[in-house]
Amino acid sequence: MVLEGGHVRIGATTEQNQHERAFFERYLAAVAWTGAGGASCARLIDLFDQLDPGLRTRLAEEFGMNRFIEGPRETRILRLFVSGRTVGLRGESLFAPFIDLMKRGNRGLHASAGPQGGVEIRGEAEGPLFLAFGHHDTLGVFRKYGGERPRPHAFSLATQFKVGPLELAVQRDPLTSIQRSGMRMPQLRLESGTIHLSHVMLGNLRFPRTPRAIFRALMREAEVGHSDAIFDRILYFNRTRFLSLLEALEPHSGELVTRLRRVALFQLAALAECTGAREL
Amino acid sequence: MTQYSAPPHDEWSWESMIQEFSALGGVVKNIVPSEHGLSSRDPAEPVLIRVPPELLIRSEHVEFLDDRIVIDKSAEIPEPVRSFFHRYANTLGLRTAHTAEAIAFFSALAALPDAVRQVLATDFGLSAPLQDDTASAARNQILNSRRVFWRRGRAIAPIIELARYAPDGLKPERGRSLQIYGYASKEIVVRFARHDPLSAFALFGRAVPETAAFSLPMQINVENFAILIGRNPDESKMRGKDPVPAISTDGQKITLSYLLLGERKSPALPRSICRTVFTEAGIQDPDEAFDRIVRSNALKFINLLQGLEPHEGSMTTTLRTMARYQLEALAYCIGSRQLAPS
Repeated sequence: MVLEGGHVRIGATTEQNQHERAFFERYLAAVAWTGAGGASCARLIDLFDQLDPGLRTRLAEEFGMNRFIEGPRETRILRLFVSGRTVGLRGESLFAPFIDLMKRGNRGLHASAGPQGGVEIRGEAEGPLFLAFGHHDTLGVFRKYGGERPRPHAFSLATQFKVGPLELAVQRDPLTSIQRSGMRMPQLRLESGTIHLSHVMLGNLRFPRTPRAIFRALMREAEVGHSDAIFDRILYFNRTRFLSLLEALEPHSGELVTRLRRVALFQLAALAECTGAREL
Repeated sequence: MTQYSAPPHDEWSWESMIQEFSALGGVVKNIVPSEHGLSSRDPAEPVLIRVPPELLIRSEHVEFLDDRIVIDKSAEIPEPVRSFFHRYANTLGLRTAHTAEAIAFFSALAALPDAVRQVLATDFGLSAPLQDDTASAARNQILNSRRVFWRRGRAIAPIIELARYAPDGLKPERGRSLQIYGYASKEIVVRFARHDPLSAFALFGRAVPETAAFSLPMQINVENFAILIGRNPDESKMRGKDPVPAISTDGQKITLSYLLLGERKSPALPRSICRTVFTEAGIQDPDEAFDRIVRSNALKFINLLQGLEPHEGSMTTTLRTMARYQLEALAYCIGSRQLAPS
């Protein structure tokens, strides 16, 4: 998808035929982009542009908010529009007409693979239809959709530090996981003296004993001792990062500052949901 | 520092007062009064204030009577000391800048929106006084904030109590007398007692970046036990080099005088203390109990920050900063280690 002259169009390289292309462009122009979608994305990007430059740098470097900050304005608006309206399926981000109009909610329906390779939602709902946020935590929801919502769980920010003779590299990719005993676990790779974890869950309101338990299991597998202290260090790193964001926001005011504060507080609340550990 | 910027004490000059303090056994070296408290006369030299036990007035004996600070008649205190203290307390320190600061603090608390005051009262025990009681609340705060721990109780140490509080201030040294000793580049600040950001806010009306976070008072049910946590860090005993809370058990009820949840200077200590005392009390999974207490505390401060979000003003900013400091201190809980046996 490309943004040209204030309108979203289908890019020249897509596989859609003429008929599908015509439908999409009409749909985008008449419903998706025009119906507040484009305007709300542009508004958020403009709010970022008005932010204090020091804060912008910090948000980009420490919280991965580059997508709101770096690049031409039109590219960022389009990026946000597309990111907020696509669903992830089979490793691809797909724009599905009508499904893209659904607001996201904590108890939303999940998009899944439909017949003939399509995308569908299926389920029962009363009142407005919502689409699930997926695996994203509060920070992830903000980065993907530009909205601030309390989420029941929190993943670590990307970080790296020494654990004994090894390096531990924590990434922030909750979508990369493996299934083990019916549970989603991060992918673990040991490469040239570095343990790579695709993500680390640090808090979970519904299953508060799970985050530490998963981490213990992973460290056992990697034959690394003192897993609880390492988990605590990651937790500490995350808590202090979000607290330091609150401190940085303190002298500023405005709509985006208020929204970013909410993001930090929701994330801190989810980070608190880690009590004990169960056996996996 | 000139006589003109010093606190008002024209009824009794600093020099005369120190002379009388010294006649009663006190020692003051290299100290002058300043706008906010005390300063060193010569920063290159150490400062010393030594208060003999006779001049340390137990706080339970000190009260306000007709707007004057007096020593309870029943207290067995020699007349010269009583006489000195009455003149001192009603001329200096306890009745000067501190009073204005305390009244301003309580007035600002009382002016907060109802919802915020409700949270402060319910979750943090910080009730704003009614308007007519502001002066009385301020007086209590002044007395409470200047107390030092002395021989299983609290006392007011004349002259030392004039200094401002700071977490990195000179620590009161306890021997036969109580003293502060050390170097001060300019203003002399004293660490009267162990505080966390919340207790420092309640006593001094400021957001102070303390290194420790203690649990809010609470009761939590763990396994078959009811754990009652107080908030009196002075009630501790030493285990090796580590202070641990006083603990008492009564059947299935465990009472702790306080519980350390985070400590920047020693991040492995909080969980270690909890693990040790809870295990000794018979709890099977002390780590989970500790995590639940930390969670409950953290969520209350996060909830306060959320409640403050739509509001502005200097007290709101101070409260926000205090809550952030408390959450920062709470975050300093990493790993655990062995404590010395009891």
